[in-house]
Amino acid sequence: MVRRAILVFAALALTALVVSAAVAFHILRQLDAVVVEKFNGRRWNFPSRIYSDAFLIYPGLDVRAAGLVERLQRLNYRAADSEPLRKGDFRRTPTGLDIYLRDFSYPGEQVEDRLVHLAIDRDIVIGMRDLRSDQEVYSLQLEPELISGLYESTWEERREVPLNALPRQLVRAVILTEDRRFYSHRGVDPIGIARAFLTDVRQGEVVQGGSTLTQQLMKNFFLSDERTVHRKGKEAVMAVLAERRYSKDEILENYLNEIYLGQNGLQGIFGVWEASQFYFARPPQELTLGDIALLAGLIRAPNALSPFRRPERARARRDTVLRLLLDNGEISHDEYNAAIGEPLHVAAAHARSNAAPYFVDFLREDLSHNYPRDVLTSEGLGIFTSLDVQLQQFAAEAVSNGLTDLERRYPRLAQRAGDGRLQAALIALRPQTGAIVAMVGGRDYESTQFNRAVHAQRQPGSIFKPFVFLAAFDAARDAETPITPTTPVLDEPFEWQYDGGTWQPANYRDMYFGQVTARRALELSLNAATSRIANRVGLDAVLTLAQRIGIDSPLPPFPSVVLGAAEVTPLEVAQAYAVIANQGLKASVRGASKVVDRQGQIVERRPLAVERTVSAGAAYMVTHLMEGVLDRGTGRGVREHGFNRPAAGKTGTTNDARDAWFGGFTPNLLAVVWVGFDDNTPLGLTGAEAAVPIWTDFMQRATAAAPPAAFQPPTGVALVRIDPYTGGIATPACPETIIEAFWRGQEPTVSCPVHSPHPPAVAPAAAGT
Amino acid sequence: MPRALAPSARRRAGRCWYLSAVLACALVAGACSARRAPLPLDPPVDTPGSDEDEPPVAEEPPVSHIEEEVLPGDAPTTAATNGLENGSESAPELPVEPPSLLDTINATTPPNVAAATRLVDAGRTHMATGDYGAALEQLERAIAIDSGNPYAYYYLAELHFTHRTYDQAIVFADRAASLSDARAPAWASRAYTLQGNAFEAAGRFADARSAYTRAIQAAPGNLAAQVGLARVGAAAVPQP
Repeated sequence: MVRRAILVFAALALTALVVSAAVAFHILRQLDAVVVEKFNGRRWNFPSRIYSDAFLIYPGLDVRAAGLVERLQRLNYRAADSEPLRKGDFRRTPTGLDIYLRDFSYPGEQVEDRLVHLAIDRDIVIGMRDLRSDQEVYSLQLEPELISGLYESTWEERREVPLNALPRQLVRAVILTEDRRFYSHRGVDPIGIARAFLTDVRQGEVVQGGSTLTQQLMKNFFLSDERTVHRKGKEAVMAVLAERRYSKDEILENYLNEIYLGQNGLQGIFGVWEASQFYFARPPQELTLGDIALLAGLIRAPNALSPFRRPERARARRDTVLRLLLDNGEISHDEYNAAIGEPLHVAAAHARSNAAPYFVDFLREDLSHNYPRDVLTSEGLGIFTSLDVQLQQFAAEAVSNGLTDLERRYPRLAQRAGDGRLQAALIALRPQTGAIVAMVGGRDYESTQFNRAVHAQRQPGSIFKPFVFLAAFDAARDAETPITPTTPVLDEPFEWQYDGGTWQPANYRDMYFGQVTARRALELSLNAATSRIANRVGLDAVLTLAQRIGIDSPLPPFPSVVLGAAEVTPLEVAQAYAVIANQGLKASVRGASKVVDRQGQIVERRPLAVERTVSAGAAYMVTHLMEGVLDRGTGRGVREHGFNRPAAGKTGTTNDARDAWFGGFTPNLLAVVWVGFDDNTPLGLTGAEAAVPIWTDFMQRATAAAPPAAFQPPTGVALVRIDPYTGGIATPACPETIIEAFWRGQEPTVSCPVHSPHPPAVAPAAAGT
Repeated sequence: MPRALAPSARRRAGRCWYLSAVLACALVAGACSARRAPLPLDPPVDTPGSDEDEPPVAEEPPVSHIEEEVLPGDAPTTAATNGLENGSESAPELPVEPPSLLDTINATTPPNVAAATRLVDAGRTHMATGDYGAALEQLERAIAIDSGNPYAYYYLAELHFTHRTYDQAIVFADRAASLSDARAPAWASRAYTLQGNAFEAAGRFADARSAYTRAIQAAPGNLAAQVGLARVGAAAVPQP
């Protein structure tokens, strides 16, 4: 009986053993497959990085207006008290600035590091000199600024580097601090566990872990932070499996690239290369021994030992690591003593935030046409854009301050809260290249992500009027009775008959000016006079031209559209105005200019491409009229606010003042501003009242760094000084004169009949204006 | 890089005891666990690695791989083809293109214009060495800080002409000519000649004739334009 029971028990035990072994084998194979897949496949997702444009420094630049020091600080350049000795240092001197510029890679270009002196007089760079070669230099580049990452759920910033590219001392310091028996164990270290256990028992709390580097790597790769036996067991098995398949160096390299080392705002810092950049603003190869010890010591508790927040604790930890290196013969006493005396060389703390969230959304959408979402968020693409972070800040501040000021002056605008608040959008670009330099899609991205600069479909109102004049002047070149800036137009109510009805345009506040010139019709934004010109040019010609130069939204064939009664986006207005500013050439609006892969190879280049959409002369003549809008017309608030550079623009206000616009440009920079409520609640303000102050604030700051430039007339256009009221060639007796632009051959040929230098004996009865 | 092959059987056997111990611990841990959690086979975020997930490589930019085009007729920017050595006494000679654009910079040149001109000069150097990507970069930067720089537009036109993107060459040459028309007729003449070359290469002979005519009007000694005009004049005549 007993024997039988023993046999049954033995059989059961054997069966259990066999089943356990089978289960164990199966689990082992599964875990092994997981480890292999991770090591052999892609180990990390690399978010794409969006960069600003590189910034050019040249003699003549106004460093204060250009925000040079702010740019350096955003790039983690460190203000030094003495001569800059390390890349990324700068110091102010009595004659200017010494900067140790970093080397960097730009798509298709490698820029070398350089120690330079900028001689500065009254904020203007008057000379630049390479301090090593003592040669004069004429232009310098600052590296592009990182604007944001494109990531799925968390922003893990990391650069994968091979083990042999890291300083040996750094590698040894990490091994000594985290797993000194790394090269002796096989994934799990029983001796280490025992030592940690004893230490913890002695201390009465958990002060030391027994996990090896391999176990830590397995945990980071596959497992959670939970402290369970199950998890620890799985971690240990996987560590052993990994060590069976992969060399120590391979495991170490993965560990050094994987490890979490801190937080920079939204951005998690992973791997020693990224940490080196974050804490010291330089690659690991350029770290001092003190830096290396600090970095290795951070692994245990990156945030608790952060040199930014707890410099004393960080320093103490660094010194501990240095002692460890000394005790283990990794460094000499001299090296130890020198490193102990080093100050903490940490870079200026600069919390990473997305400086241009609406622009990043615009880019993400734009790029999604060519790149699948997972590629954008995991392949580590470098996306180089035209954004200027300094100008972006100016734009954001102009919108924020402008809206706050409006709400202060008109308290009724501030009575709505949350999503219903007063909103604005601003888009700024270079007309010649279509390069977007700033984009603000609303007053607060946190509360609403709707990008009004790109997606808000709003009526443009009078900001549409320049397209009428553009069509008129374009058609005038070959017309027998051309419309010129001095062509008289009747500004009185009239009826426009069209298929399906009659339309009667009305002026603002029903004020009519009688006979005016085409110029005054635009300068004063006269609806009736402008509509008469549109009627003469033809509705189809106006709408076709508007669409050719950048209005993509549908324009219904109704006459009221010539006064802006169709919905368009601020981006479309900016594109169309850019054509006017660029003398008829359309350079498609661009956010990204180049995309590179993780190795820096160019994947896509979006070069400047232009298209002739309207004659240069017509575009220039409209520009010339729009200069008058600022000097004498509805946009004179721009001048009253102190912006005196050559500039052209146009206000826009829609029915019931639901939308307030201003679009304008200098020869080098264009900006369009929209102000209104998302739900179309009337604003009760004109473009001049609501949008002009924001535009002016932005443009004053954005253009201040470069000298003023004038608009240059193209071939085929003649500039003639005339009397603005009679349209005749100005005489010395004319009390008021302006320079007017005409197609060559259409310029006036007779002198002002009213202010003749040799007046007739009897003055004409109707000489008044 | 990770090794794809498993270690040898000998090594496996040698470590068997060790693995068994760890496995036993794991089994105990697994038995203790009330719920068997699914193995975290995949990280939470997609990890595309197959060929289909590779980023779509855009078409190679036109400026990076097309063989250098032989100019139809005389190249417009060389001294010889500008008729400088052979210019007649009655017609004004087309000035030699300065060996360096830096010669155009003087004490009265606005700083941004000077900086832009230096960038164009650098771009021209890149073009000469065949580094068209870098050239494009410099030329676009030049326009960003000096929107009215005729040299930048001229070399953009030349770059596009070299790469047979004639529509772009035509537009940029037109802009270059327009910007330098009154102030620098020699440059305007060069730009019109280049535009004529592009029109001609695109098969637009009437437009080419018009461009060459403008080039000659701007600088009557422009031999390249004269030759071009003679050439398209003949080409434009329908053969009987």
